[in-house]
Amino acid sequence: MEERFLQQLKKGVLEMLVLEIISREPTYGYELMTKLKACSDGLFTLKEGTLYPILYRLEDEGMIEASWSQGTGKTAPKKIYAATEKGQAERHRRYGIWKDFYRTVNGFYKEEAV
Amino acid sequence: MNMQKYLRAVRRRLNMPRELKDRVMSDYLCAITAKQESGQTDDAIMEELGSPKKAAAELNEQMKAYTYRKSPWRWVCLAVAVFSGLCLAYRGLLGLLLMLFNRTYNAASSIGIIGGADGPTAIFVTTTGSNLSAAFALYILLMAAGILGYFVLRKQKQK
Repeated sequence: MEERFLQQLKKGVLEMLVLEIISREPTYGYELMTKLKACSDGLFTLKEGTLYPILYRLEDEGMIEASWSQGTGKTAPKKIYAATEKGQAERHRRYGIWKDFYRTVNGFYKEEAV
Repeated sequence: MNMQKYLRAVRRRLNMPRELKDRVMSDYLCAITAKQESGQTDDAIMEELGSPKKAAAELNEQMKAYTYRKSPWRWVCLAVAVFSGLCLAYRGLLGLLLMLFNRTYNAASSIGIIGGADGPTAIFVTTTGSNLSAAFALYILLMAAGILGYFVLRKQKQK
């Protein structure tokens, strides 16, 4: 069992990171998982299915759209998620919120150091 | 077990509305396809994901906000269904015995119905034979309602 505090923090930022990755480049669920793991030194190592509720929530809110990619000779068609305009805007908005949040939280620790 | 069978088994164990099952399975299939394309064999993939039961349980856990809730009242419905089923079986057996035991009894009762009054008075005129069929209808109705209730209450939407 993972530490509860870390788990809650991860849960809070996961949706934001998913939207960020999808906004950069349309991607499918499994690739999203591999990217999250690779870009976080394994901090975000998820089980298959962990992302589904997040993806469906984002899709239902109109932030992302799913479509089936054409399969090429070697690869089969895949369900690709891409960010909508609304999603792109939301991505920037969320990053703004995150930066403020980060600054505020860090502020507490700076005060103590002085 | 081949992959198709595996996926069917997982799907069957998902405890959620059909549209959501489709949604989950499309992403699940996509992940498996990606694994296959990266060179993993089907056996290795199934090994990694675990038994269909385990895989479905994990998916249900992840999708907790969307899965069905099982109402405890379903047991009441099941009890009603079982009870009326037993009554039905008992009555049926009784009726069958009566019929075998005395055919003239049945013949007499059907004459009673044909010759008897229609409408409310029929209740008084008709003999045990038709009382039996009224009870039959009631028990069948109760049993059907009980079974229906049981399955409906097993799939309650989350609050």
